[in-house]
Formats: sequence, structure tokens, C-alpha cells
Amino acid sequence: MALGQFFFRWVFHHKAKNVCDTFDLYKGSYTIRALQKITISSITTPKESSVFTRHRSSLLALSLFWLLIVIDITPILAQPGGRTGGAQFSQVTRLLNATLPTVNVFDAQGNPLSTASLRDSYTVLVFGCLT
Amino acid sequence: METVAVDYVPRGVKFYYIYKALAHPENNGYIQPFTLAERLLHVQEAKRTLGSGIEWICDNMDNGLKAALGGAPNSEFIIDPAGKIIGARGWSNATSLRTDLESLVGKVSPATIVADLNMKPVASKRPTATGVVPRIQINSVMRAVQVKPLVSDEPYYVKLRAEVDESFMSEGLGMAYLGFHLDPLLHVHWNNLAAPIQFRVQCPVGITMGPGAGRGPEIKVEADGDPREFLVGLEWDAAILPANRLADSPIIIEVDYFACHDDLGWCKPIRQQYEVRLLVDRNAGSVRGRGGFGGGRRR
Repeated sequence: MALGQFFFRWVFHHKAKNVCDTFDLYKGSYTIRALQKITISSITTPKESSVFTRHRSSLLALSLFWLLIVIDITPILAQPGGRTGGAQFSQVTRLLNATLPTVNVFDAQGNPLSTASLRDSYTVLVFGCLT
Repeated sequence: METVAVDYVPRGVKFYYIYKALAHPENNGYIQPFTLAERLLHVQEAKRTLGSGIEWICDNMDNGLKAALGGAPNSEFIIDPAGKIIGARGWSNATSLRTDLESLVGKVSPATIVADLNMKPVASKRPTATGVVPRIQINSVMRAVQVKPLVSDEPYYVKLRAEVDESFMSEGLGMAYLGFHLDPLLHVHWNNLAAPIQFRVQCPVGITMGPGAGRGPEIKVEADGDPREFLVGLEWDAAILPANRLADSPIIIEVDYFACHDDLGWCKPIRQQYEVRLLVDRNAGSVRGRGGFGGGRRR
């Protein structure tokens, strides 16, 4: 989504002044409504006969934006998980190759334990709970 | 997971379950613990009901380890002897884990299968009647907000869960859910022969909650374990109380209830207080059964 958003913002900032006289922009907003307004106003409220020529580059950028959206949302997995579909938790997979953070936790009897002590062997950690 | 552990513990691999905040409170009646001691009761309950031989580690009550390792409900990690994360998976997967460990420490053949294990999972026990008091139905996405129990001489046998609806979230005017849930691991039940639960609300300037007091229903059954739930109106005037002061402006809820412990043979009145802050609690989990989205419930 990051690349798609970049192009959307590029269109928003660079082409806004060319289309401001045909409709009102949602200032500082990157919502889909703003995108639709750009598209609709450019096509249906021509101030000049050359409106398509004038906004051709905007429409081209918008087309590219939507193409990037389609490409960008293709799921990419760091490692295949146990469930198909649903959240991929990139915030988990991006921890690959990081050092295990040092956090003070407890053993099952309530004795203090540091994650720094989980060394000197391969260790598997799995999060879970009763629900 | 157990089968992988059986095969690879003898090869020197260590396995730990990390017990964290509940992902879906109210499943089987379990609710979020308030203290480390209560979370350790959850760990013991997990060991009892799952019948697992894998050791447990209990996250701290700030949910520090969950936050440090991505915050997912059932994530899985492989740590090398130097402390580096060499495997990270959003959802635990025993098959993939076995493949990873085969490449690290070698294949175990034949691999242990579930049928080889002598695990005896046990169903969670709820000795008190439930399904006596109808549950509230909510037609909105709800988000859990921060609840802090104040110091009390007694354990919090009854635990408050507070949520706000999408109307409040978007406009500052909507409904709040106040659910008083018995903690099944503390083995108490409502004493319906005594006065029902009552609560009173004190709001800071800028927040209005109404009604400002409530009373539970009169129940003919002598004892039950159902939650007592209330929907109240909630309004926040940001012109009076700016958003950056919400953390310092808690709603105080005082509750009176009678609780009974059959094993210890007592019934007693209890008064306890909570601070409720209208800030999202990202560790509150989402309640299933009524749908759920990001820490709340939905019909």
C-alpha cells in the first residue's frame, strides 16, 4: 500500500492546483472520496474543451495508482503460517534476525525470569492463552 | 506442538508456551486477570485443561513480552543459542516448526504423532449455573477501554469490563457497556438471596454517564455465575475536557455485591472501586459470540 499511497499523494499535491477550479479538495485528506471527486469532476464538469488534455497526466497517474494498489495487496508471507487468509502479522515476521528482546517475565510458579536467560540452546516460544 | 516437543527436547531444544493477555475473554467464562497472581492461576488452569508437558512462561502484567514480540495472539519464534530470532511466524504451525528444526538439529524419524501422546485434556469446570440471566445484545462495534481496579482488601471476585460503541468513538456521544463478570478461577458465585449488585458512577467534568447508578436484576435462582451487564449513555465534551487530559480524568465506578464461596463456606458483601479511562485498551482482547473487532464486541 505504501507505493500506491505515494502515487496518490503525488497526484494530490502536484495536480491539485490544476483541478482546484473544478471542485473542492478535501484538504490534507487522502480518502477515497477525494479520489472519486478528482475523477468525476475531471470528466463531468469541463471548463474548457481541453479538460481531458489538461488532466491527462492526472488520469494517467491515477490509473497507475490503481494498478499499484492491485499489485501491492498481493499477500507476501515471510513464512507460511498455520492459518490461511486473515492477518499475517508483519510486525511479527519483521523480527526475523533481530535479537530476542530482554523482558522481565515469570515462570509458572511466579518466580522472576528474564528472556535474556533463554540462550545456549535452540528455543521455541509460542504465545497462547486460555481463550 | 506437543509432538514436536517430544521429538526435539531430547535433542536439546527448549520449548515454552508464553501465557499472555486473553485474546478472547469470556470464552468458556474466562476473563482478563487483574494481577500477576491471577494470571498465574490462568497458567495453572491452562496446564490442567490442556494436559501439555511444555513449560509455561507468564508475561508480566504490562504485557511487555507480547508487545516486544509483535503482539500477535498465537505467534511462534525460534531463538538460536546466541539469542537471535531465526524463526518468526504470525501463527504457530507445528508442521512448519518441525521442518525448521529438522534443518537446524536434524530429522527425527519416525516422528511422534498425536496418537502416541498420553495427553488428557480436561474441560474447564463451571460448577455454578449459567445461562440464567439473559446476555445483553449489542448492535454496534464496541471497543474495550482501560479499567484499573483500585486497592481492595478482597480479591476482585467480580471484574469490570468496560466498552464504548462506535457512535461514541466517532462523535463523543454514544453508549457504554459495563459488564461485571465473576472470575471462574476464584470460585465464587452470586448470592441471589441477598441484594443484587449495585454500582454508582462519578464522572469528571466534561464526561457524562447516565444513568449514574444501576442495580442488577432480582434472580429467583439461588446462585448463578452469569455476568451482570448494563448499557449506559456516555457523552464526552472535548471543549471542556481535551483529549490529552483523558488519561488523567478517570470515571470512578463503585460497586457493591454479595459473593459466596461454597468450598470455603462464606458469603459476604464486598465493595470495590474502579477507574475507567476512555482510552482504548489494546490488551483487552475481543469478545466472541457477538462478533468482535479490535478489542470489542459486535452482534
